[in-house]
Amino acid sequence: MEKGLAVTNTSSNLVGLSKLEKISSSLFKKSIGIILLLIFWQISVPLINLESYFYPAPYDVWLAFIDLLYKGILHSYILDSAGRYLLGLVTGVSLALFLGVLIALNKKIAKALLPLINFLFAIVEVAWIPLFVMWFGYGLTTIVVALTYVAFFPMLFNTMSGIQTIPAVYINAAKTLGASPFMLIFQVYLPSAMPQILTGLRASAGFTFRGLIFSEMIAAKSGIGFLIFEGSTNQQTARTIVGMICMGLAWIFLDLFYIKSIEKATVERWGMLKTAESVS
Amino acid sequence: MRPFLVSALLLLISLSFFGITRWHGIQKMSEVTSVGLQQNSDVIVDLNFPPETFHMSILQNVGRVQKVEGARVYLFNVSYGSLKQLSNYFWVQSIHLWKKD
Repeated sequence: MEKGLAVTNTSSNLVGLSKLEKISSSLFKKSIGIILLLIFWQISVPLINLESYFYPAPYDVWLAFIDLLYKGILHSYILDSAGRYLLGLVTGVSLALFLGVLIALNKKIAKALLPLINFLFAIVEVAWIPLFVMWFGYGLTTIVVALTYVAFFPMLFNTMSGIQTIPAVYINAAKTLGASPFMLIFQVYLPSAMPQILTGLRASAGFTFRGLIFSEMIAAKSGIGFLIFEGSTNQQTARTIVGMICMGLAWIFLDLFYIKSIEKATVERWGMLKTAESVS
Repeated sequence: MRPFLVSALLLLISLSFFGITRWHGIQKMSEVTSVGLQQNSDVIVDLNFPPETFHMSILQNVGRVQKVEGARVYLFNVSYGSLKQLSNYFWVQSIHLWKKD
């Protein structure tokens, strides 16, 4: 009996070890590009031989990162940026979802609004920011309005095309079964358009992220965009690079823990996308 | 499920961080609290390093900055509430009453 238990323990330990090995080798494979970049970067610094404010080494960037953390600047800026980003994205995406459904379902509203929407779509947010600054002043309002503007269009167009491309069979079938307009929206239109709505959400999230950095460079006194801008104007290039790295990491974090999870929980659950597991 | 778990974890980390800084904050201004300050006062704030623009903007929101000597900042006319708020920053080492002779 004891022997049996010992064998089970050893085999489970072996399974655990092989899992750990798999994870570590996959992590290594994923980070090999970053490691190579860091090595190349570090080697290139003495070869190029420029002032550190012009071309800082990875070690300088690491020191700048520690300095920013120690002085309480980095996490305060990250929190500021995260708040603005969330506010802008949620406002823009909600507005776009509402209007997208409305436009896609009503031809009169579509005719009245689409030319204006197409016109506004062509004007990038950077062009609006000086005006927003004039109207709302420097700070939160300007940034949130700019981010709402950025988040709005990808979500709107994807929602509209998602709803307009639903096969008529679904709608007719639901109508035949006596679905009310409210039921049609929530049980046919939105679930059927979900893959494209989520594509829109992903695009909006990405565009808003870029918009955040632009807006903070122009209209804020804090945030990651401001850190990047301030670092370059004060010749603290290492700080600028810390800001850039934080941007990249924040996006990976957002994508990995939020966007991909939402996609999985909605689209794949309804069987509209084939996952690797379902295929195999 | 994952987004909720990550959000809960982030919230927990933030709350513990703010809890710890608040607890330390009370200790940093023990001299001020022992006097039982009621009205606005002048204080000396010691930081862990010479202040940068980021820190100066926060200090200027708290009171009127009179002068800066290395990592020491002299502030005029600071309310007790603002002092409590200031003490929560982990980069503030200590807060003393500024006794002018």
